[in-house]
Amino acid sequence: MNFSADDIFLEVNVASVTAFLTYAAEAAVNAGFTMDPKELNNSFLEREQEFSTGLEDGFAIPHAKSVVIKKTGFLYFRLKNPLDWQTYDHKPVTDVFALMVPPENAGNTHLKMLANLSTALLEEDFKVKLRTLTSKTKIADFINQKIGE
Amino acid sequence: MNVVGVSACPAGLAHTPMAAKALEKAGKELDWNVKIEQQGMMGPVNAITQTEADKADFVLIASDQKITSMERFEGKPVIRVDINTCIQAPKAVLKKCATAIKKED
Repeated sequence: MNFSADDIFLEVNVASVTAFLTYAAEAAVNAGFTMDPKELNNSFLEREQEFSTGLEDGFAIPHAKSVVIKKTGFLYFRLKNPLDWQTYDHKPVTDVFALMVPPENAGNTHLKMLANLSTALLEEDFKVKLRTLTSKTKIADFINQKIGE
Repeated sequence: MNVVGVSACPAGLAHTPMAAKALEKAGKELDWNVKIEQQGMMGPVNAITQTEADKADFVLIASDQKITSMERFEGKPVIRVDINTCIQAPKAVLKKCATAIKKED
């Protein structure tokens, strides 16, 4: 998995968490993750209903595990308007990583990268540095450097 | 304090490693020996051995999922905590567990 500038969406303008998840599912089609955005959207929603994937400091990590997902990976969205997402610190969400995996044979290397990304979100430095970057290429380089270790 | 534990979340994807890392980091800050096994999509990661289990003061299960190989922890105090709480307030969770097992003694 090589996270690329094409997997990054900036200035995303959505009004609600559900509208965001629909947007993310459509974006996943163009990025080659699935051909079934409706089912992917359902998978995101189901996970969200189980327990919110909102973290703290404005981050959320919705994720889906579904047969309609063709490859393991993630997309990054930076929101224009903060969303009222259920988070640990009750702060609105401005940055979202949407994680996707097929149910079987996801491949340990790729899963490890998703784990690295998730645990990076526990680090203050990672979150601060990520937000200072405004070019898609620089964001992609930074994330690749962080998850590839 | 010697603490072993297991983290597991519904998709076995993101929150499992996050909880493990948060708890181990909090353990370092407290100067405790904390080792958390991850039971996620990758299979067991950072597995707890029988020897490590035997040395533990308590066992922390950061999950409401089904955990495998629980027989390793027989005879030990086992405390289950919601995985999100473990990510959000790992240090408080560890301290509270330690207080809880002392009261039982």
